[in-house]
Amino acid sequence: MSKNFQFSITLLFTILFVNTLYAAPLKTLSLDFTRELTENDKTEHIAGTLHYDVKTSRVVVEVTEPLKQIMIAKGNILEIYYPEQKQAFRFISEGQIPLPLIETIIQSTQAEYGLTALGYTLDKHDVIDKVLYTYWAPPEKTKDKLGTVILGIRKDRLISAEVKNPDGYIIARTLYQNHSEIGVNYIPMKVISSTYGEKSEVLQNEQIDYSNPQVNVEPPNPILNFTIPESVEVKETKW
Amino acid sequence: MKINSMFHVLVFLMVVLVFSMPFAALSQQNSMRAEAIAAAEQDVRANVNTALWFWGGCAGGVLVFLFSHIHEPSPPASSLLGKSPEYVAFYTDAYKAKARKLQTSRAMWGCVTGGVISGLAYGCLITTAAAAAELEAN
Repeated sequence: MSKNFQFSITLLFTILFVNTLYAAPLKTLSLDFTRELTENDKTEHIAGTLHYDVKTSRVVVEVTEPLKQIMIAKGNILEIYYPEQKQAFRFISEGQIPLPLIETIIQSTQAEYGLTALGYTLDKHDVIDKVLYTYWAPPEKTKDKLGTVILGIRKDRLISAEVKNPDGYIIARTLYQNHSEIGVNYIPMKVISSTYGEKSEVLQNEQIDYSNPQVNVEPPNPILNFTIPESVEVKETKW
Repeated sequence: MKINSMFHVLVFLMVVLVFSMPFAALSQQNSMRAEAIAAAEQDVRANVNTALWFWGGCAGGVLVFLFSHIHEPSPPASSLLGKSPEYVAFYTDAYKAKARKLQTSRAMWGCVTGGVISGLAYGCLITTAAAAAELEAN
């Protein structure tokens, strides 16, 4: 009886502990990535590790291929450091700098994938083959530049996004695949994007594969606090 | 000491090799420069809101035109990912120049269009007022 009681208590605590971990809010996230970009019949391959600190909204991208590069983006400042050449750039922008690579992941963790925050409104929805398609109208003031956004959602996972221009022609399409449950969100481990020209011709194809996700690692990876060494001269540009 | 023809050939090849190295490096840098400029121009065309600058110039006039000279939009960070320091320098310079040129030209056209529309509106107003005054006088 007592053994059964002990077992039940242990099981309950295990479930509780696993659930707490499972639902823990995202604090830090690290992912290995490879990015293949095809443009004008030329393909470039980039590989590295992406680190994201949610609290400080700081992104550090460590590129290992084709060269060694560390990119740090936070707020309105973007820094690029080359450890081998000992060269560095700092770009200070008037507005927020779009965070490299992590935007897709942030979007997938936000309500309506961040569209309502951007001023989009839900226009209509359809269900085709168990996929919920939602159609989002752009904010009134940007209707001359932006068109409808169509999101495809299956089992709470964003599987596709299409962006159209104001004339209704598709300008970008992204497919999200191999979702991994991280914290309380489903994060796509494979993102395939295509951008199109005015005549619907493909301008660019991009495929990003993420792997080895590490969530809320304690102590946090020191790279998240990386700063350019003081001995390196930084070329600073204000935008 | 006898110097054979083989030695001459080797010296010639060595000289060619030594002098061709800087040209090869220069050609490689030029190709990278062209690639960075082309990419920057393409990104500017995709990112700069030309309609906004035109209508801004139309409504705001000279002030918006002056602002378009000063304002420099930031390039997308993802375009600089995995690129060499030389590429980053060429790209950012080209992006700044092209973006400023594009937004200034659109703001100027907006400013001119706004000026013409205002001129026509004032013309119509003055003509109508004059006609009304003439009618009243008669």
